[in-house]
Amino acid sequence: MSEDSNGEQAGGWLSSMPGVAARMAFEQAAARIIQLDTVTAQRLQALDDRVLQVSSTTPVLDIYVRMGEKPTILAVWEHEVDCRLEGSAVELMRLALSDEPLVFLQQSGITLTGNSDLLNTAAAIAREADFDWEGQLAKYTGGIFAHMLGSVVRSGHRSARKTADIMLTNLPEFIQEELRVLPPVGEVDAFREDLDELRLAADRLQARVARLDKDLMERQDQSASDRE
Amino acid sequence: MSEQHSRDKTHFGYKTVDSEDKEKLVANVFHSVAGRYDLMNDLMSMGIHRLWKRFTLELSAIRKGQKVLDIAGGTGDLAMKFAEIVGPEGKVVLADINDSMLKVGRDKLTDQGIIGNIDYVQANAECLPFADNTFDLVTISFGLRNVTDKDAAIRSMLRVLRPGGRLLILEFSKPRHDVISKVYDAYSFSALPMMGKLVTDDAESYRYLAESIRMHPDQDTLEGMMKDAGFVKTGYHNLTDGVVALHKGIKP
Repeated sequence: MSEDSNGEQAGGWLSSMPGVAARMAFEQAAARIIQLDTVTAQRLQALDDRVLQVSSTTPVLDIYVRMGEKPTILAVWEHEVDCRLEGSAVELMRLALSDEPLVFLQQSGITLTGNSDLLNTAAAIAREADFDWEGQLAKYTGGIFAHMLGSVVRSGHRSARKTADIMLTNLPEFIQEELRVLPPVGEVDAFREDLDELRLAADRLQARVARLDKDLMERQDQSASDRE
Repeated sequence: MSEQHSRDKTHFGYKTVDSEDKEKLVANVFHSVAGRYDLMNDLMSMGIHRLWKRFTLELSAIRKGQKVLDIAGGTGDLAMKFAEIVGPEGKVVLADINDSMLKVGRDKLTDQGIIGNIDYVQANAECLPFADNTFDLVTISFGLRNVTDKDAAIRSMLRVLRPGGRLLILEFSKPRHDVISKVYDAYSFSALPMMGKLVTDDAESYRYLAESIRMHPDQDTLEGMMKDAGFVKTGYHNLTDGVVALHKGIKP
């Protein structure tokens, strides 16, 4: 674990040794995949040294992606970032899977600050990447088997993506309606309306009590002056 | 908080030697291990040294076009990454007092295509041969404990840093928990010399490694030495329970 002299961890779990190991493993895997597509590597190189901050609100987690031919995932970044995304982990995942990130941003609760061009360009690179892994595989297995395997994987990928989209769309309803971990929107609205009515009724009652109190005081003053 | 050693005598592991002799003794250790330094690092630390160096890289906050000095850079693990980050507009200087280590580092980096923005300099950390206010970042990883006059070295690093530049010292330190400390002692005094004997046919150099770690200032002492030299915003991160610590300081 990494811990500073005040006993606090810089960058949270991501800065711990297991966190560093996980990030390094991910980066090495990504670098190997990027090597399979020279066009993608060149396009990423054009974004060199630009930093995208991804801030998850639930759970609280900050990740900095430093662009380049070999993108790095950082837990600590002391300079200005080029673009910052803030939202729940579920929404950020849906954004990552979205084909049109800027359109999805309009519909979601994710906040974007800084240069949206970086996000758009990175998304376009990811969408248009064409990693020739079939070619790499064909070196060892021959072209026919590599193509067959490629067809199976592509079909599986489409199904998995469709399933992931459905799951992510249904996730809020499942959490609210089935697990009852969070209240449904309608229930929250009804509760808010009831609360507003209760507040108004309490305000009215308070005003009435104040008026009665004032009347009582005036009557007491009147009867005292009559007795004199 | 200066390191306590007499003007003429200093320590070489657990031995007390003349200050002039320590440099030669340390040089002999590294001449002996240079060829298999990377392999031994991986074996001894079980690969964890890569994580410590990656964390150092992260705290360096280095950017494109900046100048970096990697002292005692050895076989160039950090220098290679710095050279990639600063790009062709920047400059990395890999310095080491030991020419065997420097040759291994230079060959390794050249073989990996790291050329153009990197220089190799044989230099003593106590009297760095660079102009004042030259570098944005100075790092020394697993090298400071081998320096005879550590205070002089830290002052020299401050001198060559630009105002606002930072020093990062990655070095073995003191584990925070007794249990870890005992396991670590048993490992470093029995397993390390044995590995050294098997891999480099040199158990003595690795016995020196274990002893020099114990003689190195602990986290707070080293932070005090950095403050005394003139660094500000000093602090350290304990890595792997304090087996290693990363110290940071800024030149005002």
